[in-house]
Amino acid sequence: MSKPSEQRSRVEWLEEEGVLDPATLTKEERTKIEGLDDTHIEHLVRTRKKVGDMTKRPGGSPWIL
Amino acid sequence: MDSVASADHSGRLRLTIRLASARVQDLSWSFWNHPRLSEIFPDYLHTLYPSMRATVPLLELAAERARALEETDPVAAALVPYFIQHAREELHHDDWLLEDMELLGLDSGAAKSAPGPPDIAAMIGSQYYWLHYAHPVALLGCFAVLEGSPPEVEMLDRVAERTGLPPAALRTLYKHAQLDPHHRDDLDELLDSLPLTPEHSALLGISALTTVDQLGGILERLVGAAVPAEV
Repeated sequence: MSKPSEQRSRVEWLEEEGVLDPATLTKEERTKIEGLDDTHIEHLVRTRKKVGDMTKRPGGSPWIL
Repeated sequence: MDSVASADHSGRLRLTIRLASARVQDLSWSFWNHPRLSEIFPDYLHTLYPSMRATVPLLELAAERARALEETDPVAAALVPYFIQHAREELHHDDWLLEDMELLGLDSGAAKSAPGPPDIAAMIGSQYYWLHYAHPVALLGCFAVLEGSPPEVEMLDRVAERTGLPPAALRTLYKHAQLDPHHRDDLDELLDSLPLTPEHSALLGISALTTVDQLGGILERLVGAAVPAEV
């Protein structure tokens, strides 16, 4: 797993790893992703189970506290 | 340690969770729309209860750990009143669920005496580990996930109509559909008020991402449609 560099943004990294479709992101979200922690981006790439878009599905999660 | 420059801690955490949550969202959808939902519902409640009964004890331990650090740790100091208040808010929610289970003819005594499934022990156990060996701020990452996307009233209405499950037996879920958005907002407000360091933020995110992974595994088991791991 290669890491982001000055030549490659985090969004590009996630796209190349198949974790993210940038077309599903707003400009604000793209900017925010660039500010996320490297360890979290690495976790996303390492543990991904499927490529998914960020469109929220209705219904919510069955999990509560 | 320097605190993270921007105070939009909640925005970054929510985005991190959202990036990781496609699988959980798909599985949640599959769960609510499962063709045999009424058949798997007892297993769901028997899995949810051991998670819910751990909430208040986790919050109490988090308050204790934060109190032990508060004199020299401003983040821990700010967490103490939140954990105490949230423990009060969560009190007896597990008892509500037991009452719902009884309405469905399930043995609540058996649920209380059962040790709980390994995947629940792993999810809750991770938080005990970080409370003991890291920092109580970790628990906020877990709660941001588990309280962050509660069941929606419209979905619960559809579930009751489609499955014939009595709405009264969904009382705990209906209540959380109303309560958890407020808890989510409270948590976001707290996060944005904390002088988090990069180390705190890293722990918070890893706790959240781990919870997303663990919840995905639990839902996968319940839905019974394990997705093959990518090679």
